[in-house]
Amino acid sequence: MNTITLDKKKIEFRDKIPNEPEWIYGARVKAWDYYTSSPLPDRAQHLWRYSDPSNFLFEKPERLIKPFPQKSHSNLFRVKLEGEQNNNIIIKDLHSAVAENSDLLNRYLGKAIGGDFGKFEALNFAAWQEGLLIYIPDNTIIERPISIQWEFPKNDFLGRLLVVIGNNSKVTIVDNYSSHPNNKTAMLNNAVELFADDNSEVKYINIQNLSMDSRSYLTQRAQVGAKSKLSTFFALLGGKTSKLDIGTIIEGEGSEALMSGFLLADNKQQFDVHTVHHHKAADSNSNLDYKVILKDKACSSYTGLIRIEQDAPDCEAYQENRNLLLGNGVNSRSIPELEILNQEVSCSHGATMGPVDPEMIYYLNSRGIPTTDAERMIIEGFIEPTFNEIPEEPKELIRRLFFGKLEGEENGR
Amino acid sequence: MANSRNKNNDTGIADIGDNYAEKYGFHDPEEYFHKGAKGINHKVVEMISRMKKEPDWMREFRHKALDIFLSKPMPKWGNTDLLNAIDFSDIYYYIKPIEFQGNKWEDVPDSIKKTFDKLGIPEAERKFLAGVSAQYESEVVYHSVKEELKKQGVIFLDMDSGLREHPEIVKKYFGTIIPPADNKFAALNSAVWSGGSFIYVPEGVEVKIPLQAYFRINAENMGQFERTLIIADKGSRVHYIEGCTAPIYTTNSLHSAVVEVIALEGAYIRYSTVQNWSHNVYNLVTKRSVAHKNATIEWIDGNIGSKLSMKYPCIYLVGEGARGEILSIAFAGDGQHQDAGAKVIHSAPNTSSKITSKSISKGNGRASYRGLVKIYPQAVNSKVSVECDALLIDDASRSDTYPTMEVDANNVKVEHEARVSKVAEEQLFYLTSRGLSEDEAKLLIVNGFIEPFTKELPMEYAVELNRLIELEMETSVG
Repeated sequence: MNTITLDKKKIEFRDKIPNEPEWIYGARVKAWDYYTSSPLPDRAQHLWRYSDPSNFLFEKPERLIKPFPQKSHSNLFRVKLEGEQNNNIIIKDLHSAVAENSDLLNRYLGKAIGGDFGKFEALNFAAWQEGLLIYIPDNTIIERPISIQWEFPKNDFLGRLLVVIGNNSKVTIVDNYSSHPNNKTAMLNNAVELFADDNSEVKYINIQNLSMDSRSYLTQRAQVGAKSKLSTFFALLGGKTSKLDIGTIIEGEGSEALMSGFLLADNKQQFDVHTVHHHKAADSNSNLDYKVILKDKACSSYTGLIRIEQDAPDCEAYQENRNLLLGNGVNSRSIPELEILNQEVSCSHGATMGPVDPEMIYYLNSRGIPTTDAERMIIEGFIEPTFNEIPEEPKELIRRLFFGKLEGEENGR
Repeated sequence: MANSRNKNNDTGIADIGDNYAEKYGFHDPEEYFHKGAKGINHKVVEMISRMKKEPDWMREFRHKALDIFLSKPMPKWGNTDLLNAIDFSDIYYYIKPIEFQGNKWEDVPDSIKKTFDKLGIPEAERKFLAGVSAQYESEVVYHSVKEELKKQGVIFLDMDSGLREHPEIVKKYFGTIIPPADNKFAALNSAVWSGGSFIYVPEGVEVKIPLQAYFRINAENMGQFERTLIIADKGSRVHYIEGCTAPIYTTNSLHSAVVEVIALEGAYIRYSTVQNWSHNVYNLVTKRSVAHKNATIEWIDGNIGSKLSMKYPCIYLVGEGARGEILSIAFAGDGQHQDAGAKVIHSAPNTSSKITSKSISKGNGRASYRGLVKIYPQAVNSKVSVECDALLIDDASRSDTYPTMEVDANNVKVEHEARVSKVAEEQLFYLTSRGLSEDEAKLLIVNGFIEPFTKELPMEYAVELNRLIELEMETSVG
């Protein structure tokens, strides 16, 4: 691209989204070009084997390039942070952050999920409408979780969350997704970037409870420095068709990455989840536990990758994907993958698929427990260890949503 | 009806070769091949079929397959860098036995000769394995075997003779399990196949000794594009062994076999193979089997040689109560990529399968497990267990696991487990404290690691395989 067209394109973006620093226009133009010039993902590529990429397209995406109506900010998300007096903590909407914290954003925004990450991520980077920055400075311990309650608008939406955590800091973030009551078939494209510096301890909990007719595409990446511990939890409940690409990249030595969660799908819900634990540094550990519960004619595919680089010796990595098949018409796919380029490792994965074990039911029946109760007990036993990975505060909410949906209440309401 | 003219105008290739001589101007096909023609086109396919004096249906089958091969793109998965490096125009697709014997012992690389020495391969066999002699002198052994089989009504021939002598059986089953359109390399094989084994075991017959490709005294059984078809009729049992542990030297850079195995009701088939192609060979093979009601199929599959292997033995369990087992090892040394795996497809109730895969990567070798477990809705009460173990010997080695499980029924049980590790420190420590050198200890551990595989092989193969692993390990731990 020559300078004249680049400048011209920048001006177009500037006209539509005014008052942003110059660097972001350049980045948006590049991402837009990537989006428009790259073809739809090839179905032969394994991450798209079970999802039709055209499900996640927007109608007339160029219309999305505009500042999101400022008035609706207050309804879009609410952030709750209790009992913390540190003035250096920054929590603000992304447009303000771009204008006021330009240096910080220039350093982090798009560094984990950039404009060339993939076609849909490029669209997000070019045209994100609203988002949130959470910045936790060095040496800051926040005991109570920071909770974000999103209510995504009834129209298609592109959003971003950027979390930057300094050295020796500790924080828990609960990211709760719900839809506007009038939301019917909207498409949500969200990107979540987390950067955790050395010696930090970070928990990120994502609760997806969108309206049952919506479509969503979520990309999440965390980059972890040395001697840190990062846990992520994903609870997937809502949406008609949802695709997630979530993962942690361990950049510093001696760190630990944990990921756990579940998806509970009923009717004809479709989920396509891809997880990554990428070990780029020595002496790092990761553990992944993902549970899938399928009812009715629900459909799930799980693809999980552990990759250990050649210059990352002494790593341990484990991965488990268990699928509980409760409906007669369910489809369940599981592809746990390992790419190990180093011998100094200990690595394993396991996957199981099956219904509630009839032998267990039989045993409980013989103890006088009726089948319905027995089934519920076995499902509780299946999911409870996963709940125990969640900090106390959102745990009750997630448990309520889970059992509400299991018993057939829509969105647990 | 193999000899009748089977004109099928729908295919658009029906008249190919009808006025062959005039059209292409070849009067002496043998002369044409004597000059050696590289590359692939309909002329080459026509020539192969004519030289073999095949029935029309097979000739048309080949032409159709070639069209499929030419129209299919290269696979977009696996080691695409290596795959895309194949130059199809630089390959001989059919070499007459006479030329095959034209290679000279002096041309065989020293490394291969040395391996023969160390494995203790007899002189005559060496020349056969190195491709400088078409004959392996086992006529005496073979003779008594042949008599025995004949009495039982077992057919054991090379595929070309099978087509000539038993056209009705071949036509019924050939290409039914792996149709040419299955994949690009199956299409290529279907177009230019030559050699391979043809086995038919009649109803209720139990073949006591393993049938070995070795016993077939035929120049073409070492072909690049072998085609094997095994049919075990109701209630019969057979064990087939292909390949051998000694390295097979060939100047041909592409080996692309198709193996179709059919176990009818209650039959049992075991197919054992250890491939050890020299390290310049692409080994792109399609192996698939079908197990009918209460039938059992077992693949014992070893991959030691070649530059790139892509091989995923497959079992379709189509009859109620069918059972399948795949046991495989892969050894990826320097410069090698073993992309091996296993596939089981359950499409009938009460079927069960088990996959055990072991891989060893050393030097900068890369071993990948790529598998598929598919359960269709009607395959109720099915059970699958998959276990993958990988051992890494060097810092530069790589191991990948790409299993795929697709389950469309809910009352089934699927379990998958995989582990990757290096040679355990404690085991090394224990063995070295008992006076073994570190190299010896490592070798012992590696041999122990693949023991579940070797113990399934006939004794002489198991011994050779252990010696081979020893050789392969020497360069790394020495």
